[in-house]
Amino acid sequence: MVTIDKLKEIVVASGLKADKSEIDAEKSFAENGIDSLDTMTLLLNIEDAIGVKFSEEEVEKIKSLSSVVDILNNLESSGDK
Amino acid sequence: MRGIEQIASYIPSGRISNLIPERLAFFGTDEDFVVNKIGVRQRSVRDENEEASTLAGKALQKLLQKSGLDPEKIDALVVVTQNPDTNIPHTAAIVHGEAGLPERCATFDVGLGCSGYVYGLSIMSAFLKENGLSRGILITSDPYSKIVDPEDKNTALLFGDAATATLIGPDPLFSAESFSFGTIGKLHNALNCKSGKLNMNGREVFNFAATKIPWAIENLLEKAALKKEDIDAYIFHQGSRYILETIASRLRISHDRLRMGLENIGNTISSSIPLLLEEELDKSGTEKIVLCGFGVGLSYGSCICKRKNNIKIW
Repeated sequence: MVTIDKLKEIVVASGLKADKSEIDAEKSFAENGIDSLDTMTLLLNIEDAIGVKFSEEEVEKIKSLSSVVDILNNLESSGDK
Repeated sequence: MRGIEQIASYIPSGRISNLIPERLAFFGTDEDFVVNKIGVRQRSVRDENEEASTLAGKALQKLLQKSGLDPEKIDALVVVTQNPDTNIPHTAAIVHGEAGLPERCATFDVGLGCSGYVYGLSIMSAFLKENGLSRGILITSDPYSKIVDPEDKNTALLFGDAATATLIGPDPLFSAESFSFGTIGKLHNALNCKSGKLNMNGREVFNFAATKIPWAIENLLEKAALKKEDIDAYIFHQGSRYILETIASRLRISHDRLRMGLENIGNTISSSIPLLLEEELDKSGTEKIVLCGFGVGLSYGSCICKRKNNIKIW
């Protein structure tokens, strides 16, 4: 089970935020000050850390950390991970 | 041994700014993102009547002038382009005809994009060696302005027009060796041109560059028994500032060894590497260079250039 906290750690490790408290998982990446290119880096780092590969359709649905958790948990429950 | 004797380039004088407020608003972006992430303030653009062969011919003339080479001594001419003047004939033949090169000079095109210069170096060196020839000219000329949709945010702020000409011959300043190539053909749709318009899946291209290229460079250095710090200059295809910095960061190479040159011309496809390599030819302290081209295909190619002769005053 992937948690929001784990994803926030990846955001910080990616150098996109100094501290986990600066991230609102419900807000969009843009609202968190993470632009489209940094979002690409973040998704790549999440893929590397969790060991998944997001499809194009899944990426389309990813707007926030919260939506990443939803997709990862769906993958887990469907056994795709 | 055949190697790189000289490089010359032609960059059209036309410029289109990426910082026009109306355009930034249209694309929903701002100056900070364009300058610090894309890394392109303005793009070089050809005149409407300039074709691939026109740009190529101008780069060739500059090379002949710079090197003092007698055109009669050119044994082969290769043009790397994906935007030829026409499908038939090949662009190299047009350049050959316009320049009045000797009939015995072989000509052909190489249909590659951003990896094309590295492939072209290997192809030309091997072609000369295999056929007992002395001198070849490798030209890159890919006017992407012909196919970029000015309303496509993924590509409209990125690409510029330019051409380069490289003299490969028996008295080189630099060798080009330890070549390594690869293709991820299953991702060929990530960059394509359909109905005359360029399409790019930015995320696929970014993931490819961020993961595959550092891996390819690590392998290249390992095979050549070199360490990262043995390399004086890393010249990668100038995809975007963000891609270049991502690759450098993942490779853990210092930024003073990373070359960047897209701010005032844009990503010039197969010309981006030789444009920067030209600046290194006469630079003291540059002994070993890593070149790596990557893009359309998705294709990549890398090699190591080593200084062979002292800097020449042309």
